[in-house]
Amino acid sequence: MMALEGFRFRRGESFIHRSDPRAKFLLSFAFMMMAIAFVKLEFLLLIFTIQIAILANGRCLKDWLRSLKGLIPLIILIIAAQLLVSWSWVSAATYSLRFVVITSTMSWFLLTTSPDDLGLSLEQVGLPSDISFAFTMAIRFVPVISQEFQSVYDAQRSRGLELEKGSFIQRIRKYVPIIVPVFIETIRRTYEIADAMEVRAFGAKPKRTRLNTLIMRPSDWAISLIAVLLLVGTVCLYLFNIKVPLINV
Amino acid sequence: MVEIEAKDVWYSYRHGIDALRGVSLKIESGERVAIMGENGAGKTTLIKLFNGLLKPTKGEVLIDKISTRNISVAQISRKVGMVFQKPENQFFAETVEEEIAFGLRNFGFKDISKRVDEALAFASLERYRGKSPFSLSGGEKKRLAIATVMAWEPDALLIDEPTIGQDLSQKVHLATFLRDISSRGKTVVIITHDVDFAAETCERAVLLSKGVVVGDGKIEQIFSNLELMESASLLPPMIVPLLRRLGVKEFTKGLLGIDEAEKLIVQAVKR
Amino acid sequence: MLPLNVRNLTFTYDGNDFPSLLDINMKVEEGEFVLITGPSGCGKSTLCKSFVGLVPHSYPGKMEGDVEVFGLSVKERSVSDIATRAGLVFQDPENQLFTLSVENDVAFGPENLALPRDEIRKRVDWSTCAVRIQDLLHRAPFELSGGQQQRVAIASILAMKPTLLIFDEPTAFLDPVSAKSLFELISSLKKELSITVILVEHRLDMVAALATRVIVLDRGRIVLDGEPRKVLSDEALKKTGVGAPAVTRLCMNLRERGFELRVPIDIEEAAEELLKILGGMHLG
Repeated sequence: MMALEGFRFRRGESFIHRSDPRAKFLLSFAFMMMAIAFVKLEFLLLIFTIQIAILANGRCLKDWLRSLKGLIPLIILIIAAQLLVSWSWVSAATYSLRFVVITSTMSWFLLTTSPDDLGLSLEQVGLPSDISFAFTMAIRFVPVISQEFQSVYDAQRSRGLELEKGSFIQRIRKYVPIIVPVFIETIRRTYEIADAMEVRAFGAKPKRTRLNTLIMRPSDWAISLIAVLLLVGTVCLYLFNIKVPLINV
Repeated sequence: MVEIEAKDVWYSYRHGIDALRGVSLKIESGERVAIMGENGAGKTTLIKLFNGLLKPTKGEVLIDKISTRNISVAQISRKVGMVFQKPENQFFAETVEEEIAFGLRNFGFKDISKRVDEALAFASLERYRGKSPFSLSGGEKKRLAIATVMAWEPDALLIDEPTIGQDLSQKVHLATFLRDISSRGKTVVIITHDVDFAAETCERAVLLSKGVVVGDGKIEQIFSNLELMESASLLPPMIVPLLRRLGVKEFTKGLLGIDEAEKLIVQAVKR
Repeated sequence: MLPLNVRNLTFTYDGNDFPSLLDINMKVEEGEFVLITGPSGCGKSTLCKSFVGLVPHSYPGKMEGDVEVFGLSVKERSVSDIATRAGLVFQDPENQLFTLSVENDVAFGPENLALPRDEIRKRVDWSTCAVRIQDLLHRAPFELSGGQQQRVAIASILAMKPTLLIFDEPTAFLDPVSAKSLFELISSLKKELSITVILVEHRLDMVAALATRVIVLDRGRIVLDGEPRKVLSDEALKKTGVGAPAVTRLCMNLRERGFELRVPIDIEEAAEELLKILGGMHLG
């Protein structure tokens, strides 16, 4: 659960917070593509440093570190696998760093972008408002459902349920008393939410108007441009197998 | 018989909010206590500390003089049963009797069948034995939740907001139910907003406000102290301000309900 | 035009053997404050849903009779059509707030109506002021207290400018002080905005004095309907399991013993009456 904290939106007034979600998405997508295409330690370190700078600007380093803590088992797994395959520490470091860079890309994007703005950007990009709204609501209710799991878990523990004990099969079955009530409650909740939406005239008109809309500022256009250039560059280098020192040599 | 004690307990949630700040209180065997205060005062945190779900950040919670840090939630729950606010949050079995059997199995009881029968009888739910717990009405679900806990006969029962969503007749039944449980020697601790229900069911009230105990004593003394109640964001039973206006200074427990008030007025008029 | 006209309403949910509402007849005039109460399972929620069309449109079942809201038939019109005339506030604030800022939640309704942006802006500002949460515009609803969340829910409904407001046990999850505060808000909204209010509530001691009319439901039928003092002092009330305010019950008991007093619905009235029979003398 703690790992998920590194992907949950935190409000802020920083430059990165106020940047347009569409620009940020392009940039984070570019970073991700670069990390996938160019598996070179020095290059990944460069991207990693830039990401740290972004996270620092957004004041969300602490949350991001928490997500890393949760991912440590996976990181160790990657290091171990690489060592077995290639006997090289450099290789192990490179692949584990690549994993961190890719997850950090998603992390800084989600930490600094409000789900409301995400939904809005999806709408402004052309997605039907139903879908973008479903997306926003799903994110908005994740903490609620996570809290439900905790409450149900607490309640069942108070009835003597001990998840840590028993064989593997027994332990899996012990999750039933936790999953079933949450599932049922979630279904019940959706009826209430649907009612509340209906009485607010959801679906009255084919196209909704919006109080707040996203406007691209010059800095957002700049970020988008940089992102597009990076993407194009990445694709070219990759497709035409051009070798550039420090990037893919 | 069980003794529950909080010794200078502090609890902070991860985000640095202090939910409880130096709470000390002792609940003896067989007491009937109402823990009250506004939403966010720390009531739920306190009972979660009592049954071990939470461990204090500072200070100790002792169950029969053993710190909750040294025993598991399951061990504590065996002695100190907890019923949560939303019974629906824990139902998952196909039938009511399986729901009751769940806790019994977890605690390793052998006479499960007998205990299930007794629990069903005690809660007047026999006719629902083979039915789904979700087919019960709100009041029946509450009784089922309490019955599932009573089945393993803990020495104390902690109940979080037993009266939410209950109408008057359901509350009357619940109050009688809890008094029955208490008459079997069990300690009953309820968190509630409902002052009338608390007056019916308990003899002691503990008031929490912003993580601190602001009042602890006989329920009639606490409820008749209008300034204290207000400081804890509580409204006293309607009778209290009325009787105060009519000049009553000292309150007995009976005076929190209308029957005694009626007698008092009748006597006064006769004079 | 009547805000609400319910005629011979009988409703049975699909899959149920018995109707949840049986032969309901009630007319609500403009400016009334109607309190609807009854034991658990009496059909209060189903009734509220029928006032806005959720029953029968979202909850399939057999509906006989009709409900008219400002002349519009709930059967024939969509829930969206009714939504601009009658608003419904539910019990659980959590499931009525969908976004991460109060402003977005309050704008939700007007956005659905595809109103122009300045109109939405005006309505958001107006309704948040009406419920006194204008300082909370940019806060996230989940950070707010239960009472504040319900105010956001009310503001989001007000933003659609209904003239009939229905509240289905809005204080179920609130503590008594927050509940009292919410009832006071509802009462002042009614006066300031000249709207008609229907409130479903158990906690009669707090609201009896605010209502102009009390309707008691039991097992799907209306069993009592009239002026608060009459209904709360009616013998039939006890049979339904609904509790009149403690001070009312006290004075009713005294009346049975032969004392002459009027039936009070709040502490002030009770004190007045009792001081009279005590001849100004004090107890204790």
